[in-house]
Amino acid sequence: MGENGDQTHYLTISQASRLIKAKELSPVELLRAFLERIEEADGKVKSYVTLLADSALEEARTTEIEIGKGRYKGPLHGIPMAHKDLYDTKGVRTTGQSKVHEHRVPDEDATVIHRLREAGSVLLGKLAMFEFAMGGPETSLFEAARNPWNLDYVTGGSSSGSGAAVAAGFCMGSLGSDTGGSIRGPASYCGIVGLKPTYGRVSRFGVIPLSWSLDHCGPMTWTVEDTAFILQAISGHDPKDPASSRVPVPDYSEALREDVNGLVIGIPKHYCYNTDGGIEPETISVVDKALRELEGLGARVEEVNMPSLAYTPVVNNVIAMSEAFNYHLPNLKAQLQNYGETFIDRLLIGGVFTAADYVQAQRARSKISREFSQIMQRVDLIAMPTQTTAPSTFEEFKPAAVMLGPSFMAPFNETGMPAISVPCGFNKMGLPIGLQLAGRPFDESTVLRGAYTYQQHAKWYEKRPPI
Amino acid sequence: MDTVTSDQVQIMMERAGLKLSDERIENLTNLLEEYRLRLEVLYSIDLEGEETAGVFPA
Repeated sequence: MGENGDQTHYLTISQASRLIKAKELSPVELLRAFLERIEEADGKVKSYVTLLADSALEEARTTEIEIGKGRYKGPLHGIPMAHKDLYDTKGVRTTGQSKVHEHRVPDEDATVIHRLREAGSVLLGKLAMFEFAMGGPETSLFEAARNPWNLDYVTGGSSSGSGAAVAAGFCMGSLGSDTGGSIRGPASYCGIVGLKPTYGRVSRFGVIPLSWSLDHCGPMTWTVEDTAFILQAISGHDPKDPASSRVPVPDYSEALREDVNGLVIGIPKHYCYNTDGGIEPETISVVDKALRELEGLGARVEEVNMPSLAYTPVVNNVIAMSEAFNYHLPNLKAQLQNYGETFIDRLLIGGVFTAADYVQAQRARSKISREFSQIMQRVDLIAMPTQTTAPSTFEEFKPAAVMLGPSFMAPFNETGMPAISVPCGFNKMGLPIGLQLAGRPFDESTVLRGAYTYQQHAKWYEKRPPI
Repeated sequence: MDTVTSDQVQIMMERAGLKLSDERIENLTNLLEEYRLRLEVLYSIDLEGEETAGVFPA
């Protein structure tokens, strides 16, 4: 790997796992490299809200013993990961980055955390986020994570710490959550890979909800290959999650071949290349170049017409805010003063949407899903920029604009389709831009294939932030 | 779509069991007013025969 390839904390999961399996790299040595890196640089980035140095060292020693005895569990064995502070971790505070849960300590792991432990990964800590997965960088508890590419700029959210920590080499992978783009958005802004799987593919049990029918859990990593490893470990039916699917889980690594021959990629340019809607010309230019490259690699890119995209933002907002308001109502009554202003400003509108608004939005959602399903009979993937613009500074960031503006990510929460953000370049300020690829429900394999092929060709992973 | 007043917003919040300050009610009313155009878009959609389908555990 490029210019930073000799630094242990910049190894990918794929690279580290090969070394660990061959006993050329000790999980304890790997963990110490991350602890040193975090101490050296996270004071500026502020991605961690809880660092579990002692318990992580103990876990790393355990994995070292297991591997030494020939009990190698797979590519995540001995791999240090940290997760959005939305995921319940047994015995470790899980706050949702809110004073409301300042002292909350779960007595059970979230299902996906348990699955990662079973796969042998090491829990390094919990990461910063937007309060209760919505709002903005400023919260009622802990400082905001900063973009490692330029500390004056936001990471995007709500999985802000996850985006920053993976980009800066503070962990090898992270679980984020996504209700309207909260995995893909920070993945795009931090120059990493973020996958929102199909709704029901990955259990939501033990993850503090924002909006039950829109919430998705998924991996955030440096490479597509690493995302496939984590997805493999966390996917599958969970009886504790009422929305969990029984659709069999394929071997996602089989999708990782550098080949997009014959893949048809649809792009709704009428929507996502429309500068009247606030989309930056530079973002369009960078994403368009990436699509030309995919064409050069054998894909066919064609324009598609998707008129329902125009109302996907309002549908997402009405459903998400209504469900979120309902979830938070008991705590709103009991401790309103402990909620952060940025979060409350957005949440309360869920209490003034009417039942008619909510039903209208859900019916519109059915129409959107129907239209997307018809499009997916013609194309294998839908492509769009992940974000409408590159990252802004903290001063420029306006949570209301995020709420009221267009979104290229929200449609795939509404339809439940899998969607990935993969880095595809930088703007003039040196800030990352992401390409989003979305696929048919439960066809993460094609999504991974498209993203992997592009990433291996473009090699943006060779450049790390200057921190 | 008619403008929603602060009094109406307050009634809706109290109906949910929340007693908010005048300032919060005012902010919320203003946000809802900003949202009015988007809600008009929502109601302009031709939904034909679309339903909201129930989803039941397998």
